[in-house]
Amino acid sequence: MNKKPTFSLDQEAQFSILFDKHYQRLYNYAYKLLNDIFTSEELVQETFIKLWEHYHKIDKSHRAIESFLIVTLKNKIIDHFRKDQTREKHNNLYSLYSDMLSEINTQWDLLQQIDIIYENLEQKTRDIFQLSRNEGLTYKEISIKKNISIKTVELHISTALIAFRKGLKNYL
Amino acid sequence: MDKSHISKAELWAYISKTADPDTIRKVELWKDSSEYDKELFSQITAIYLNTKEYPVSVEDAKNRFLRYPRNTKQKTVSKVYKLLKYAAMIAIIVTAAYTYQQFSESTSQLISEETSFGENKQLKLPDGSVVWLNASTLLTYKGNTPRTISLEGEAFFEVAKDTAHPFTVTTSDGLKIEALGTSFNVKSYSNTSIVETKLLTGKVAITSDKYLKERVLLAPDEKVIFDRNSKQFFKQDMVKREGRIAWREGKIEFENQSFREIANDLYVQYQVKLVFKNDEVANSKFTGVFDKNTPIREILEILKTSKEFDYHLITATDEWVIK
Repeated sequence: MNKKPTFSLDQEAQFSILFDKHYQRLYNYAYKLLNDIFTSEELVQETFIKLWEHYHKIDKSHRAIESFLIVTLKNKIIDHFRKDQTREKHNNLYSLYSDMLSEINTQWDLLQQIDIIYENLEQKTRDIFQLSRNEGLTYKEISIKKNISIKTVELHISTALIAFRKGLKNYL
Repeated sequence: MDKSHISKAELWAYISKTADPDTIRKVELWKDSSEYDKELFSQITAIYLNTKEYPVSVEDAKNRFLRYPRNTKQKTVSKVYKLLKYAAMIAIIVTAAYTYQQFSESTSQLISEETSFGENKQLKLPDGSVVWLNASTLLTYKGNTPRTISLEGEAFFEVAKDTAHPFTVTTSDGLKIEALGTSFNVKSYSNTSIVETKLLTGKVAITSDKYLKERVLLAPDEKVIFDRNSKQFFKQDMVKREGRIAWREGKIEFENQSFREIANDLYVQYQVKLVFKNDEVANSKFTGVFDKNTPIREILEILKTSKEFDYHLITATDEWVIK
């Protein structure tokens, strides 16, 4: 009787790590498509629940887990749109969702591409760009924080933007 | 200032709303000029939009996930906690209980019987009494005193006659229901505010060291409700059909019950939670009988015909939000 809870604790610890690794990205992705905090959180939760249920029989490599998560989440988003569509049909507000299907795939490719671009940036450039993008700091604030000149900040930003323009040229 | 040339960094500052007033003026002039590069502007806007992170608490999500009851493994764990909370007793898994039962006649070994969501079970106690457990119920007793029962949930008892040994059922509030050759039903789910005792035949006395100075006696077709909030007892005659104890026939029955009370019955049967966002709806009363295998959605649809409300399911938590 003691064995099982111990095992599940282990699995909980593993899931804690998986949440840290994947949750924010999956949430970003869901939110971009759904534009709804509540539904996005729900669907990502359900995705992790499904992973939990299938965890014993899937490969524990990063790639396998990531692809399980994303395939599950994509399907949940598709289901969600389908349900919405049925609801709208009932209200005689017919809408197409085939555009949505390609959007679902494109969005994920795009997010992955953004991750790759970030990874290929130099650490310093990435830090500075993210201070601007995610923290909303001005160049002046960044220059003080990083103890560099504003010109250098601008240079890093510009380097990052060139990389993004190049890396995302198929999406922009 | 060079109006004709705008650097990407300036454009980025403008688009990301971190630019100083000089840069803003410069970019706006540029946008109105012939030098304006629409493609560059829209690309950088797209980079800005697509690199957006949406703030969310990963910790909250994680905690919610870890709290979510998943499989039988998890349930066993939570039942153990329930038991501990219940009486700080030794936990015994149900399957083992049967084995213990044979040896426990003369021991003080704790025996427990439980049902999960939607499950009913009939069992015979060592003294010959018969018990039907409704869903999500836990019944425990010591092997050497099978007529002293602890109950969490709902059960119907047909007590074997034995005047020398009173048959008692104790609830988590310490309410003691004592019977002599009787059939009665006790409903005491810890997540509701009432304990209800219905008597069909025989005689029942309810005592409580904490809440009662003298015992409450029940005659057939009477019921006593204990309100956990006000700590008060109410004695009522049973409505005719109540004596049927619908759940024993595989039915869920509501007799002029509030939606909130019905929600608990649905919870123990279907393991679904109803969350009310509208008090008026939660307090409206319904009467009806459903087969236990009626899908929850259908029940809600039927209830909807007599009172207007909206509902939707959150699948992750199995919660139905009622508005």
